[in-house]
Amino acid sequence: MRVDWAVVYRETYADLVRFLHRKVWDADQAQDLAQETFVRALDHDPENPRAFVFTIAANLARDEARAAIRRKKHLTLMAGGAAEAAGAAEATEENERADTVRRALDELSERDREVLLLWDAGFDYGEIARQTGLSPGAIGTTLARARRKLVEAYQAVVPEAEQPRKKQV
Amino acid sequence: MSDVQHLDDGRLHAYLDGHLRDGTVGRDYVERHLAECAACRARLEEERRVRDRARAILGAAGPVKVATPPFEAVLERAERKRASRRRVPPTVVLAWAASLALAVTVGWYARSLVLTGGGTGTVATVAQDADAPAEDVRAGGIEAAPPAPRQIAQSAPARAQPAPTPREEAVVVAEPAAPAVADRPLANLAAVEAKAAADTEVPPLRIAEAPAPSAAAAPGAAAERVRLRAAPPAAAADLAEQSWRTVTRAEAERRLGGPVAMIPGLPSLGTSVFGTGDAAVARTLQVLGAGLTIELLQQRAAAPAAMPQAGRAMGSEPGQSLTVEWEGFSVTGRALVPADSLRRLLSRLHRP
Repeated sequence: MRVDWAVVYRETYADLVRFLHRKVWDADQAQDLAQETFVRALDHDPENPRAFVFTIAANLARDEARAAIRRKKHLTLMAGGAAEAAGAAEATEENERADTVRRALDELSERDREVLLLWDAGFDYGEIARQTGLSPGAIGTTLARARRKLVEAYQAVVPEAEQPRKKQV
Repeated sequence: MSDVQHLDDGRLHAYLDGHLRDGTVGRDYVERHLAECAACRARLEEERRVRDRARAILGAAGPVKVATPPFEAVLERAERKRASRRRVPPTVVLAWAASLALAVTVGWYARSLVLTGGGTGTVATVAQDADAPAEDVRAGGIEAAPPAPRQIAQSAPARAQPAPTPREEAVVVAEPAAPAVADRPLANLAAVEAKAAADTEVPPLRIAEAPAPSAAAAPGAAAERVRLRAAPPAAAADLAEQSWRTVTRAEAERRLGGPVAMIPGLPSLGTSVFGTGDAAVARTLQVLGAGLTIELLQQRAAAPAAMPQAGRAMGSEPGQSLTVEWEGFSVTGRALVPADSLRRLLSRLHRP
């Protein structure tokens, strides 16, 4: 049976962008990669289209992250670190919050982070297990560990003064 | 309750997330245990806080509500990508063409040795000798290749009489058949043509990418220009069917009352139609390579009057043109390629 990609697209796009955004940390790029993901998926006829799409997206995000590291190194070499300073200057409060989450997520192991982000993107335990190759029984344990680690890491990176305010949010 | 195993974190989270099945080791078991064990109830609440906090933290990372663009955006992007993937990097083709030109040159040289040597017994030896230098020179192929075929072009007529067919072709194409193309890559074209004749598996079109690498930068723009020229403002005053209209393939077939002539395997830039019924003329552009197209003008073989009219509407494009009979139509192909390439392209028109 042929996959109706238009339907998968409508149902998955928002989750996919959310998932990608937590990997590349750029709203425009997350959308761009989400589109690219579907461009690549179109020619295929997978059994589980949603899982297939997230697999492609994860790969694209990984490639992009590597490319970003190369670009950053290059820029830093060219401008002697000035580029980073310029980037920091335009950070809004929203970017700042995202950046805090990002640093907290970076504390997690690759596998824990992946499981957490898949759950966040709306996958259920069975889907997460298939996607990551973990046993279905291990998902609860992994999520428990990942969530606790995220909360602790976030607490650690948020500046002390901000914590009470953030807690109310 | 000291003899009972307490619930582990994983099971608590699975329970919170609603992912425990009913049954003895599933939700029922957890609920029975929670009812009896205050310690696990406290831990459950603790884990619930952790879960909610983690969700809030992730939620704070954005993005804010994302609108889903129409699915057509994906389809368009896929189409653009497909179109660009068909283009082979010009440098690859150039290198390929250069080494072929070299091979032909060496072959020719070996043959002339044989001819001047005279004796029939020397043929094999000379051919072997000629092979060895070929290997040596190949490294410098790109520099060495272009001048050599030009030499052939000059010296060929003198020995034209005994020349075998492939070589004759090489001579023909070395003439400046395409005015827009610089004369250096033409030598490569010649060689590639000779190769394409021998090897029908390779579409001869790739050739076209070698001569015009500069055009690769904006092939889409070039196609646009061509299409714009196809619909001159003067025609707007005419009846709708008396002007060039870009139509779908199905519509073109309806207007023509028959199949649309196309060369299989080449990307199509679209078909436009002029006139209707027996007088209808269809014009299909297909991509031969970067910045190079072939134009197929098609009309009923019985209606010779419409073609010149349509031709005026179109303006004059440079290049060779050749007309063939096909499925009751006469099809004129026009492209910036040597005449024999054009002939071969037109011989590949698909059979509906």
